[in-house]
Amino acid sequence: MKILLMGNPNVGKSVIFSRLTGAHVISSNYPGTTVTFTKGNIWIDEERHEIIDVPGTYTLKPTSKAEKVAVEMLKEGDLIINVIDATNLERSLYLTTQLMETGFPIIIALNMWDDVKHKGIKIEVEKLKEFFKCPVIPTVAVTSQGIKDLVSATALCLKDLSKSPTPELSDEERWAHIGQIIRNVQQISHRHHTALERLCDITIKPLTGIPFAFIVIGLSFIFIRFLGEGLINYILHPAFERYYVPFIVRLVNLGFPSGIIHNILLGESANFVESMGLLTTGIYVPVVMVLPYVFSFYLILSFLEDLGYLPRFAVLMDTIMHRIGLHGFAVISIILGLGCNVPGALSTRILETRREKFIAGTLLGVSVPCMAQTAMIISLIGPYGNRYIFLIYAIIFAWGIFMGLLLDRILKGGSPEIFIEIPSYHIPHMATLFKKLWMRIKGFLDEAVPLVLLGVLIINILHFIGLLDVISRLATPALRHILGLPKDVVSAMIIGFLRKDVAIGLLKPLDLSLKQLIIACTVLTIYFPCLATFFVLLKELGLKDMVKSACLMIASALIVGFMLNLAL
Amino acid sequence: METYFHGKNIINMTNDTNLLISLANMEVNQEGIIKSLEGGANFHARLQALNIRIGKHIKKVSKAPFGGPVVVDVDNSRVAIGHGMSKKIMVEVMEKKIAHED
Repeated sequence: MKILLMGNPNVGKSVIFSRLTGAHVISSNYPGTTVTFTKGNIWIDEERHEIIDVPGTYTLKPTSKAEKVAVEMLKEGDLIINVIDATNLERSLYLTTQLMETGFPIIIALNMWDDVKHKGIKIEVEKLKEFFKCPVIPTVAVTSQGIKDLVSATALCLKDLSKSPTPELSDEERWAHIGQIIRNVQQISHRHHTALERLCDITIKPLTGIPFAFIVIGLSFIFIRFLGEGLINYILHPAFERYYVPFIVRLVNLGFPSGIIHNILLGESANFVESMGLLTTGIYVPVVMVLPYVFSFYLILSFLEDLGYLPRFAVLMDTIMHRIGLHGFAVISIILGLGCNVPGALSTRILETRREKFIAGTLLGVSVPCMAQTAMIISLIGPYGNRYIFLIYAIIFAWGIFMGLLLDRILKGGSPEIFIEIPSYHIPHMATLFKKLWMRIKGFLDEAVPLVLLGVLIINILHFIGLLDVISRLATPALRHILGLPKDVVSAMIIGFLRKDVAIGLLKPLDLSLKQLIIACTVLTIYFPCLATFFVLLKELGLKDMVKSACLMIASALIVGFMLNLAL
Repeated sequence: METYFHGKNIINMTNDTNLLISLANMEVNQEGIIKSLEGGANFHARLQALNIRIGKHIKKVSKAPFGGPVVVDVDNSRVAIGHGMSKKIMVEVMEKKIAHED
């Protein structure tokens, strides 16, 4: 049987899904985290049933793409679990009454039940049951409260899946009907605003919200830098040097005391970044240099997400984002992209038009360096002073804004206006937050380590067969005249298509001047997305738009690099 | 109800009737009842789905300069609405005060 989890955006469907299936799904406190559906299994009475986490929708008469997906899914279901935000009953019932008309057997999960009391709301569950003639289960998904009851109610419902549609109502009739239910089951008492609610107003009004946003961004950067560097210097680097390296060297020497394989596995120098050994550099770069920053970034991102800060930031940024052809919510794609471009690119799905997707995808590729890149830039440029790191970022972001302004002018059409619900702030539930953090770290390791190893292997092979020299010679005139870079940078440029962190690592042994380092880091960021991002963008944008976007990226890199070469 | 335009201000002539203005023209913290919605059916459907409909009590929580979005409070939930959309939501405000146009 197929069980559909349906409800308004941001009511906790994904959390309920992961509680019911044990599967790990990313959920956050903003609408639209689930853009496509996720499937999972649940075993009830020794029988396997499929559960589908349907994207949030406010209505069965779809007004957006995600809503269309939701309505399409309805055809496949046998049973619906309608997840409702108990603190927002009236609005939620609009969808519920529509679902009732489809005739599917329905179970209502009154989620966020713990918030109801704080908000001075009283809901009589028994009366609600009578009105809808279906099970109504109060739940607090983040703490698993009520999930057992939900499962038993589901088990009971699965025994009788007959359809009993209610008569179809017009919108006026529907609201009148809902009004009647609300008057009977819900009482709202007046109470004072909580601190979190006051924070809500402070962070959304431009006069206080914009300074607040700057403080949040500033503190986040300081936190990420501090924690990332601390983890490297005090934990990961010493551990790598003292325990891992002696161990791996001894192990390799047992099998291959010398020769090509020894050199490929361990590299030819003692420096972990420069040696290009598969088991030294190939592990050091992703695990010691990049992972601490990825960890710090996702720790703070997950906190801000679950708190519910991001949609407020999106609203504050909306005015500016419209100037570059996007709408406020695209800011979330950019923030996700600062961690890793892959989820950033995936999240462009929430954008409605092809134009917006194209602009967002291109800007992501050009102007949003991921944490892996940032970590490497910090380690490479950091010794010269933080101001040079800021210089690189300022150049990249300024170019992104310029590109956005330009694309907004050139491309026909406008960006749709923002229209989103701003969720209330929630104190993040720590266990859920750390679970999400762990999923993201695991995702990074699963994806990055094999590709980094592949990159290091390719460099070894190219070097061994002498192909690198040939390509270098061919590229030398362009590199020297346009960008002012030596021919050795070619290897970094080639590997940059695969992974940016290894590519920037390859710059380290080249003895580049500060100017050359700045140009090389900037060009490597802009010229092309890494392999993983490329495939996601290709899928999201389609071949034609991706080719255009890629041309823009390469042209941007050459122009910016050339200008820097002249200016610095 | 009579209103006339004086410079950039919309002034209510009769003091004891309430004023009908667009959400865009409301002051921050001003409250009122939604009286009519302009625009097409799809627009109405989107608003309605978020419980923004005729007869609802609405409060303007914030506005952004340069034609940015406004944020409103309906039934204790906050919704951000684009400036263009906010011009199409007509609200009867309770206070007798002069509303300035953006």
